[in-house]
Amino acid sequence: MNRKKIMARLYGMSTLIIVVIVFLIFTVACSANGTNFIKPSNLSTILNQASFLVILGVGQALVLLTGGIDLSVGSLMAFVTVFWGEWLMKSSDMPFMVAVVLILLSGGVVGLLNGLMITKLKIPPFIATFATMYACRGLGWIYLRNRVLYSLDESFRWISTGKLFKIDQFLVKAPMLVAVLCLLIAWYVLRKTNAGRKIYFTGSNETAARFSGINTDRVKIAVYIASGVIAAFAGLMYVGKLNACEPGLGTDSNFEAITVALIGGFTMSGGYGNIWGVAGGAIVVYTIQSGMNSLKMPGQLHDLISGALIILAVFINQELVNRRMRLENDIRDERVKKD
Amino acid sequence: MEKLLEFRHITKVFPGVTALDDINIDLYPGEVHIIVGENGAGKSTLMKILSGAYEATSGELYMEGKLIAKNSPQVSASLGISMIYQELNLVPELSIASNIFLGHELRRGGFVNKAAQEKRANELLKEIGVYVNAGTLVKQLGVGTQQMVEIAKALSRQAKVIVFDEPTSSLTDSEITELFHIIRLLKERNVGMFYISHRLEELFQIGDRVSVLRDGKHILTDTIDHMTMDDVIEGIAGRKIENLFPHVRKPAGDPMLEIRHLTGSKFSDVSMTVRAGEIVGVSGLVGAGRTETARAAFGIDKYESGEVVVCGRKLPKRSPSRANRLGMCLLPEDRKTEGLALELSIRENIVVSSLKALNPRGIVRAKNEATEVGKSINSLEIATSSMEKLVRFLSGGTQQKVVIAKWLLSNSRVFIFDEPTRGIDVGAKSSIYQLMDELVAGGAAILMISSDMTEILGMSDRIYVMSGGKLVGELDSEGATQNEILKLAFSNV
Repeated sequence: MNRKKIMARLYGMSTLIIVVIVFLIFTVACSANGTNFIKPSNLSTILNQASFLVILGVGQALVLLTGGIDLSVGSLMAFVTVFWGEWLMKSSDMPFMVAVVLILLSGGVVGLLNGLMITKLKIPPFIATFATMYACRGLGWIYLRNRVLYSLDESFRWISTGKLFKIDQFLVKAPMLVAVLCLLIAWYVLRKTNAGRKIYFTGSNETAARFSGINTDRVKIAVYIASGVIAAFAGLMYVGKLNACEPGLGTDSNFEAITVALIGGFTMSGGYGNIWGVAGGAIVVYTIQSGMNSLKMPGQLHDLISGALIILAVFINQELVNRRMRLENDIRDERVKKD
Repeated sequence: MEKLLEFRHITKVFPGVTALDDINIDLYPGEVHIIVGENGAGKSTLMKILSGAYEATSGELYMEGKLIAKNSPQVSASLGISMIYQELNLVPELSIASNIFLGHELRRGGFVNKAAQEKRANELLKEIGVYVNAGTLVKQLGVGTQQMVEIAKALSRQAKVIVFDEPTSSLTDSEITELFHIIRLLKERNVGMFYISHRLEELFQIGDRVSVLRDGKHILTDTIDHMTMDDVIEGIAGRKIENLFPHVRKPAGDPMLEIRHLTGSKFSDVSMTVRAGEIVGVSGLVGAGRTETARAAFGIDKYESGEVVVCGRKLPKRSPSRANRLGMCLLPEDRKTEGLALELSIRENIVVSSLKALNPRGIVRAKNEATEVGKSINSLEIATSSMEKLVRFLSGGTQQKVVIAKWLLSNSRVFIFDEPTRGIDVGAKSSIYQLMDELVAGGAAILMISSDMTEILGMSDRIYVMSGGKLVGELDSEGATQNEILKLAFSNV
């Protein structure tokens, strides 16, 4: 009985287990090289960089929960920041907040288009967002040609580079705060609101959701809009970090976002996943990048390992989720028998 | 004559139901053995045991006197057992010849010998009197010809036993004549055939012997000369109505659900009315368009013309959420795929249609929810250890209660029950009937689609019968008989 409880708990923490394993591997590998991988300053860097991925991952997680996928986030980031980028520049007379609002709105509009294509034109999510991915990238290039909008407003850049406080060598930066806020909001919406219920139910069984009176089209459009807005927000953070807007931004972000969500325990079939897993997924993805850098390994090897890891993580997640459900069920039944 | 095939004491138990109970049926070479029974009587299960898709819980299967110890689709195919299903299993983009030899291609030097295949396929087609070039793509053929291709395919594998599952359901009259001609040719070649059909007149046209199954039990087997249509119908419908049904008729109130001249792709000009306090049964065969009509009325599928009025308000097309807000609900035929989110808890499933009422500001009030769900669990006697239990761990009857609880909580007044007790054991059945009776006693209106004749007769105030997508009759359940309903149900197929 007690053993079952512990096992059920453990199975529920598959993402955490992956995080620990990855950290262990790099700590050991780096110490062989004579560097300290888990020193506070390094951890701070990892968490700070992972924060950007967390934001992307949250948007993707929402879409995955309904059984969809959004491949367009990276290009969307590039397009909306390039399009309104002039007003983010130091040299612009416009207050940067205007550009920020317009960028978020534009992200929402692209998301809305994705949602409409998927629900009204019945184009499979993979294809619809795949097309949007190319279209946005293309629009960005057409709009900006070969230019790069360089040197952005410094007060705007605080959100990407701002330093809050230091605990020992561990520097807490603004993106970490933003990522935590983002997770909290997503957690609240998913777990504590009617909207969240509808998202889970739609993803778990769309037909049953329709039979139950949920307007599933509306739910799906809403998550694509949310994904668009969140991606636009991530775009703001990335350009702030870069101090430039350019149409080549976030070429890898499309797939990074999906990787983060998958390692975080979300499934392609929808209806399952805990938003905090995204934090774990982001940390794993960035830790590998940074760990490979510390070990001075080539980037191609990093891709190989990411691929292997996705497979491993998805396999572990699936396997453990099922076992956990069974165990928890047994525990409940046994409790009743005892009474 | 030696028996070609024999089912000995075949029993098949699924969780919660005994689908087949000690079945003994045999087949002689050159015989057409017709198997009839209501939907869910066990015909398909028996045939799936023959094809190796299911494994019998107990009992044995003999082919030409030899025990088939471990059956599987590969084993049965190698023994010469071929299945021809209602939905044909051909690849539309390939030629007739390629389809016939799919999986056992004629080869020469490792390559498929297309020329030889076409030659042989043309011979096979000629043998059964079909004059189409074997190079034609299957997608260019009509349903009838496709079926002939299936038969040619069976012959190419030296089939000794062919099972026809509702072969005529989508054929025209002339195609049926052609099919029967081929079946007679097969008889001459000593092929044994099981033939499943809902069209009772076909029994007498093509059958040698008839076996009737009912509720998984073997009721009778006899040669066709010893039987009349009435014998068969009585065998199918058979049993006396037990006192399973608590429903007491009361005077009906105002119309709560009016379906007016509803026409869609699978049904045409269907009009039905259900009044407050009434349970109205809808009977008919599978494919009569009952479920399709209900789905369109509720807004799941589209329809071409007609209208649906709930409590005096016209429903927009294709909006289950609107229908739901007006107090209408549909308990789907297939609870697992259409009624429930199996990976979510009982609580999450029950509250899903009442979110707005329970949490008016959009923020979940967990305590309130738990109280309401607790009340439903108690009043419906949902057997569970916790409201957080995942629905997939519940039995069929309990799952159905969860679906009902969901609709009760959302204050629905107009219920469409589609096969409310399919796959549910008798105990749970009677409590669902009890519930339906309480609902209408409280002024609700119920439209109940059911293929279970006793349920239709036992629970309904009035009965609509559909056949071939049309409403073919309306009966008062007082004095209605099973034979009357069955005759109507078969009238337009």
